[in-house]
Amino acid sequence: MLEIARVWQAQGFRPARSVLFAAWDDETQGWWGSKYYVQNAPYPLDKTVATLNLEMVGRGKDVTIVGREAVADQLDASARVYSATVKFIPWFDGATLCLFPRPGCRRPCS
Amino acid sequence: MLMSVEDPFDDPNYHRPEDDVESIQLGNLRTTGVLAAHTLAAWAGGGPTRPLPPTGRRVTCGPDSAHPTCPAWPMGSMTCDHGRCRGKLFIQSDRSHSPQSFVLRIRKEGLAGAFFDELALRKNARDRPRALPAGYYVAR
Repeated sequence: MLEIARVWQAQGFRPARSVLFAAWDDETQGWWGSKYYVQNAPYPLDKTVATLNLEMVGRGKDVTIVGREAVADQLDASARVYSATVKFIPWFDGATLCLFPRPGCRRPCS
Repeated sequence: MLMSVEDPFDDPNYHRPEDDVESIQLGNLRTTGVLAAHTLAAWAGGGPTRPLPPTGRRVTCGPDSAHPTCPAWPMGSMTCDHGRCRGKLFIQSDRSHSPQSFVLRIRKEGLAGAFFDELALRKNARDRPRALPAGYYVAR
């Protein structure tokens, strides 16, 4: 995550939308970090249109895209650009780190 | 969500004692980073900022102080030399959403053409998966 932010800065990339890089703590203990963010959001939640969650990266041999609709579709398109072999799961129960599963959702879901 | 578990259905215990630094799969880590960077760049829109003109010739332009000779510049670029270095230092962007570019399109295409062009740009930026060039927004 920090490397993405560093490379964007080094290449002079300026996103048209604001992009917030954030790391949550204490997910296993009850999503304390993500709950705190939602309850004390520094940016309006109703203007937060999408999240991209990186979970358990660097473990095992596969990369799996989990999700549905816009961001997941873009991940799939990006994987094709790089000819990356990925697994794709439209959705599955237990996505505990999904903060905003759909526009307008203001609380962590389980 | 990007995950590095073989099958989330069969592996509900994501955190394992053996998940330490020595066991990190670098290829997996890099693939995840590249896909995340590319997806974020495509979803966020925008592009590379223009190189700054030489310090002595730099003039600050704001959205409310567009100069007739200024070319359109991408949102986020905070400097402009009022066209004096056009074609030499600046990289023209055809994806600019800046108010200046909108005004220029009105002059060129009329209000209706500029308006529909702007709608098409916004729809493309927000709704469509974009096939950006590989390696453009990420480390090569």
